[in-house]
Amino acid sequence: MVISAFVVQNKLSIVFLGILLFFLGINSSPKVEASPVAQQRLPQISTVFDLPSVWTDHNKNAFAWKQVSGQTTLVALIYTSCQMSCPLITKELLAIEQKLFDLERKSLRVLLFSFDPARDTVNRLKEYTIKHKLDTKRWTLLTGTDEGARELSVVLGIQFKKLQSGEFAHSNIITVLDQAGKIAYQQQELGKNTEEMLAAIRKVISTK
Amino acid sequence: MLLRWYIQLILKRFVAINFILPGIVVFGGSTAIVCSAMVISSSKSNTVQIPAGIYRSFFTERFSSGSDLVFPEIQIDAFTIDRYPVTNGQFLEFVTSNSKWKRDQISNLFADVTYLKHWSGDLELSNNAPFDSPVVYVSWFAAKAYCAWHGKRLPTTTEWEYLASSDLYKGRSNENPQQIILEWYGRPTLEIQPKVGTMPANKLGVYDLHGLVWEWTLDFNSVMIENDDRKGSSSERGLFCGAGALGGLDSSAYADYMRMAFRSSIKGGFTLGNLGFRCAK
Repeated sequence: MVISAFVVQNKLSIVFLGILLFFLGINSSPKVEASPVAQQRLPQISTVFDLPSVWTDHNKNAFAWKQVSGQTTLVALIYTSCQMSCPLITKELLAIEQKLFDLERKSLRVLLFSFDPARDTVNRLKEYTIKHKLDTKRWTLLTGTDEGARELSVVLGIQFKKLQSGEFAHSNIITVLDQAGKIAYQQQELGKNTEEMLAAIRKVISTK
Repeated sequence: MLLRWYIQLILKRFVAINFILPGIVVFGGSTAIVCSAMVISSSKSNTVQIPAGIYRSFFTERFSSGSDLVFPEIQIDAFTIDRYPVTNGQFLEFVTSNSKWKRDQISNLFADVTYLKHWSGDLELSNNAPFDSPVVYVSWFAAKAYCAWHGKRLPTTTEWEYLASSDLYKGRSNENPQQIILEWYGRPTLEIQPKVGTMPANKLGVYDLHGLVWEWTLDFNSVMIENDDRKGSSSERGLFCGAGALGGLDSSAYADYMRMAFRSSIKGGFTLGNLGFRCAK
């Protein structure tokens, strides 16, 4: 009753209101603008384990990333023909390993990928493991293709350049992968923030 | 609009002399414009054959301990390069046929969240992404996949720098290419990219190398430029091994330096509004 009285008294304003609402309700043909969808989208989650590149290990076996699935893995890119004060990265990895307890070390895997597949043959890699007394139960050296090496370096954020002299200039990043292949931590500089690195490794081991 | 474009073409002396005559007749009939326009566009193929050459490296190298730092001369084998950067239209064709590179399906490993953000849909361009403008907001992985789909690859940094070098810069003899290019770099990024072919060609007929978009290269991460060397060289600080052999750079090549610094700062998954690419073979 009250409502109908209200309507009768305010007919004109209601008509105007109705017309206004009608026009507001019409969508003008949507402007073709950049969509904000991208920011809200949850993309497919993949890790290094999903990379298709092909590698062979120092025992001539084909490598598959799932071999280290479920482990704590340290990854670095190296080359064996280094003439400068090398092999710095390998020494760094050994030093880090030494600081871990035996039980912790048991669950650690180390993967060293070559960015010099032309010279780093399987035999060269095998010699390297012997020369540096690497625990090959847990250390694997790998060689592949230039394209695979470049792709892996980009995924891990590692810079490298082959010089005219045949040497390589490269960053010294050591990466910690968790059991699912996600990057848990990266040490940027040799010998720097070792405590942080050890803590990161221990954190991944303990999340098993 | 076609008339203005045609006149600009003549003024820039890109048109062979036998097209100027139909140009004079242009006022007489639009058919003349259309016919010669078709001939001009078909005389430019989509790729350019680049003959073998020598690129003087931007970085110096020390060939053995104790030797001097020199700018090595790098041999470039003949290769083919796209005349223009890849466009939105061309990239749309690619993602339409390769759904794993669509915006809604791309892996976080291969692009960040702003991948193709200027498109209005996963398979839809927009006013901000004109068909013939260089595609931007694409990652290195996506660019690489596009080129591979066409049986090509990304150009190497050396190949790209060779094309962009002062020696191949096409301008007046009193111009300093480094300075001109640097001025272009100083302009603000446009939200809507102009069409490909807007910026001039180099001496070999390759367009848009400067002033349109930055471009991905196959080995962009072969560039290592450390910003702060006051704390001691980056080799001493353990960040790089062997970079000491890359002792210096050509400090007069300011524009080249900007490109190198840019490459040193990006990661493969980055998608930026002023970063596109073209392919090589």
